[in-house]
This record gives sequence, C-alpha cells and structure tokens, in this order.
Amino acid sequence: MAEAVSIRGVARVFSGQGSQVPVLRGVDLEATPGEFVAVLGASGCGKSTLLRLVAGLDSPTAGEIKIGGRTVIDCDPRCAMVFQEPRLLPWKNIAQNVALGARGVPDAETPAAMLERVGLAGNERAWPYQLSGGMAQRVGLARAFVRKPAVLLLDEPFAALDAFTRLQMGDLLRETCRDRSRTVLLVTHDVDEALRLADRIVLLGGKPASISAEYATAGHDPSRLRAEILGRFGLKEVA
Amino acid sequence: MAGGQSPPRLAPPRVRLPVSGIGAIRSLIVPLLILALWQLAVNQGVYSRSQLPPPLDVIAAGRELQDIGLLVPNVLASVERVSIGWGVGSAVAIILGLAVGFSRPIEGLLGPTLNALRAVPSLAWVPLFVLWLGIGEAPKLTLIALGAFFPVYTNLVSGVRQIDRKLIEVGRAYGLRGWSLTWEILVPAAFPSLATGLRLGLAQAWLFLVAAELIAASRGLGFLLIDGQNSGRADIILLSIMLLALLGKGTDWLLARGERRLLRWSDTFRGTA
Ligand SMILES: Nc1ncnc2c1ncn2[C@@H]1O[C@H](COP(=O)(O)OP(=O)(O)OP(=O)(O)O)[C@@H](O)[C@H]1O
Ligand SMILES: [Mg+2]
Repeated sequence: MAEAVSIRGVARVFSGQGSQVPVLRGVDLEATPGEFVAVLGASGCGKSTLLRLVAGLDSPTAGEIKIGGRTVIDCDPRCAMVFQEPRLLPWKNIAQNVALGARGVPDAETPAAMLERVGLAGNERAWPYQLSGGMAQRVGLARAFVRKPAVLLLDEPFAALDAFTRLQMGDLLRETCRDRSRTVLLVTHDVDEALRLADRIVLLGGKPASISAEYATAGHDPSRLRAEILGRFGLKEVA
Repeated sequence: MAGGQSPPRLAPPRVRLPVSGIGAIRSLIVPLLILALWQLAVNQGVYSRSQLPPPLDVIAAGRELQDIGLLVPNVLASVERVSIGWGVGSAVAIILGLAVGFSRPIEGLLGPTLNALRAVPSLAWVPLFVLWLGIGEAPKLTLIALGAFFPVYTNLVSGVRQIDRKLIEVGRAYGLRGWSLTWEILVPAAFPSLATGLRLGLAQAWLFLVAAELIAASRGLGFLLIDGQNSGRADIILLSIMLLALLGKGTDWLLARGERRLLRWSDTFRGTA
C-alpha cells in the first residue's frame, strides 16, 4: 500500500576534481500516501538527482528522506523507478526484463499480461536491441508497474513516446494509480501532462535548486494554472 | 489496450552459424591455394623430397601411423591435456578475475603480483616445473593451465571494469544484492570479454601444449613432432602441424558457436556482408 514520502531540508553537492557543485539545497516536499505529485523544472536543475535520492540510489549531503516514516538509507525496496533512459538489461529478453520488476512481489501480474497493458503483447521473447526507443521506455514502465510499489518514481517516462502513445500511457498510469494504492513522483517537462495526471505540481528551480512553487490541481481551472506555470518558466527562461 | 492497433510482433532473431554454404566455400579458398603452392614447390624441386614431401605423402604418413596404432592415441593425448589444462586454468582465472574485477581491496592484494607474474614469459617456468613436478603429466598440465590463465584473467578483469554502472544501478534498484547481482548483472555484462578471453586462452593452451610436449613427452602431437625431427621425417612433422591446425581451429569453432548462442542478445557490429 501507498506510503508517505517526506523530503526535509535535502541538499546534494557533487564534488569532482577539486570543485564542489551544489545541485540541490533545502528541498522540502511532503507527499501524503497515495498522492500524485508532478515535479517540473528546467533541464539540468536536479530533478533526476532528487528522484535518485528518494530511491536510495544516492544519499543526500544534508537533510533527510523518509518513506512511511522510515529513513531511506540504501536502495529502497518500497520504490520502483522508471529511469530517464529505458535501461533495459540487454541480456534479458523483454519478458525477463519485466520479470525483474516482479521479483519478490507475491501477487504480481505475469510479464505477458503486463506487456499487453503497455501495448507490447507478443513481444515477450524479443531482445531489447530490437525495440524502438518508445517501445523500450514502455518496457521500463511495465517493469516498474508490476512491482506494485508503495512509491512509484517516474523520471520523464513518456519523453520518448509519440503524442498518441503518450496519452495512452498517461491513461494507463492514471488508471493504475486511481485507487491511491501508490504514491507517485513524476518528473516531466510537459505542463499539460502534469495538470492532467497530478494532484499537486511542484516547481524545482534556482541554483542550487529547491522547491520554488507548489500548485494543487484540484478545484483549480487548468488553463489558468497552466498559464501561471508557463509564466513562471517564461520569466525564468528570460532572466 | 485501447485503440484497434495491433502491436508489432518481433521475431526472435535466428542464430547465424559461421559455416554455411557459401561461407564454407569461401573459407576454403586460401587453404586450397596454399596446397596448390605447396604442390608447385614440390614439382619445381625447391627442396629435396625428404625435406618437403608433397601433400599426398603427408596423408600417406597419417595412414601409416594409423596402421601402427600411433595416430589416434597421440591426438587424444594432446586433446586431453589441452582440455584439462585449459579447463583448470580458465576456472582459476574466472574466480580470480571476478574477485579482482569486483573488489578493489582484492585487486590491491592480488593485482600487482599477478601482473608481475604475467610479465614473466611463461616458458621460463618450464625448468622449475620439471624440477618440482618431474617429467610426468603434472608439469605439462600446469604449463598449459598457466598459458590459458592469463588471457582469461586479463580480459575478464577489464570486462568487469567496463560494465555500465547504470545497469548495476538498475539491478540494485530492483532489489538485487550480492550473489544475485553478480550472477544476473555482472557476469552477463562481462560475458563478452570473458568469451574473448576463453578463446584466446584456448589458443594459448595449444601453444603451451606443444611447448610442453616438445620438452619431454612420450605421447602427443609434440612428441610426434620431435619424433619426426629425430627420424628425419618431414612428412610426419607436416602431418603433426596440420593436425594441430585442425584441432586448434575446430576447438575454437566450438567455442565460437557457444559464444554466439550465449550472446544472441548483443547488438554489436559483426562486419559487413
Ligand atoms: N554524478 C554526478 N556528478 C556530478 N554532477 C552531476 C552528477 N549527476 C548530476 N550532476 C549534475 O547535477 C545537475 C542536475 O542533474 P540532473 O540529472 O538531476 O538534472 P535534471 O533536472 O534531471 O535534468 P534533465 O531534465 O535534463 O534530465 C546537472 O548540472 C548535472 O551536471
Ligand atoms: Mg533528468
């Protein structure tokens, strides 16, 4: 079942060849169990970095991240991540790649059923190198969905998809999360997608980045919200 | 899924075996050319017939050895030595290669020593092996194993170090740890390098087999070589050389087949058609 995600005062400084690059500073974000939060931000501002911290693939330089009240210290089994690139294991066929997500999940869907849901029925035995970018990305989605994670972390999962498939996958995601059985953090560049799917939209901005604005979508006129968010980006871009 | 589009089905790719029809004919062109040149050299009398017998004499020598029951036992003796030596050498190399590749402390402990040992031309060990292990099978197998060890070890270590960190991260993100991570991510990811190492190691094993058998042996193809030299039989020497070529090529072909089967997933350049 869904778990709350609590990000408090998180900072991440990358150190390389003598220089220190602060990417995140003072990031605060609370997601209630079952909430769908979209994270918007300019390229390179630290969105992927933030998701990796939540997944436990990286640790914050300062601050704390908790899932369901428990501090994330290592790769967290309650999370499932869809990476910005598909990252399929080239030596496993499509069904085996999806099965990796189902590992240790007692009542997981079969890879074949899951693949059908992302529109890839019948391709179970294909190798990753045979897939198009969008197909590979959908396998990545299937791999995360079968896991039935308490926290679903999606890093621009629809970026490689055409407009039509993008809508279909968005619907699938919404349908999967409708019962509030998972908390979702979705990184996206697409404001409309965020408005359509998320309960709340947070903007990540600044250098080092932190949460610069938050908008609840419920009860708001989407077009006004859209104009406002785009306005903020427009200002950012010009400045 | 909504919408009436039927998803594209991708056929699992077929394994293309290297030897097939035209390919087989093409691979025979150069050997046949060499045979023709050889026959030509004999006809022109470049060397005396006892120094350079014609190809057919070599086949006759093979039949002669077969008749006195010396052909098959000598071939088998060599094949057995190579199999054991290469198997043992590779097994040790895989264990050490994985350990050194995965763990920097172990690399610090063993890496420099192994690299120093690799710098010693392996034939330099022969006198010591003979002294320690006698002239029986043990020193020969040890030498062959040593020959097979280094190509496997070196390739595996560098293969492990070239694994894409992002894929290891996928494994970790999806709950793989320790053995499962090693077995499901690290080993398959390093497998292309391992396969290269195993094939190079096999070639080295044949090389060291001959070295070992030339030094002291009462059976094997190296023994036939020495025997041919001592009795002035160039036909037997040439026969042994051709058998070594066939066996080396044949065993490499077997490995290449296995490699192709196991690497069906890889999307690497295979040369133009
Ligand atoms: N391992 C690392 N070492 C050093 N710097 C890094 C590392 N990972 C990320 N960065 C830096 O952190 C910043 C944020 O990177 P990140 O990948 O989180 O951006 P992003 O918001 O996901 O961008 P995009 O929308 O383009 O995917 C970038 O400036 C990047 O150079
Ligand atoms: Mg990113």
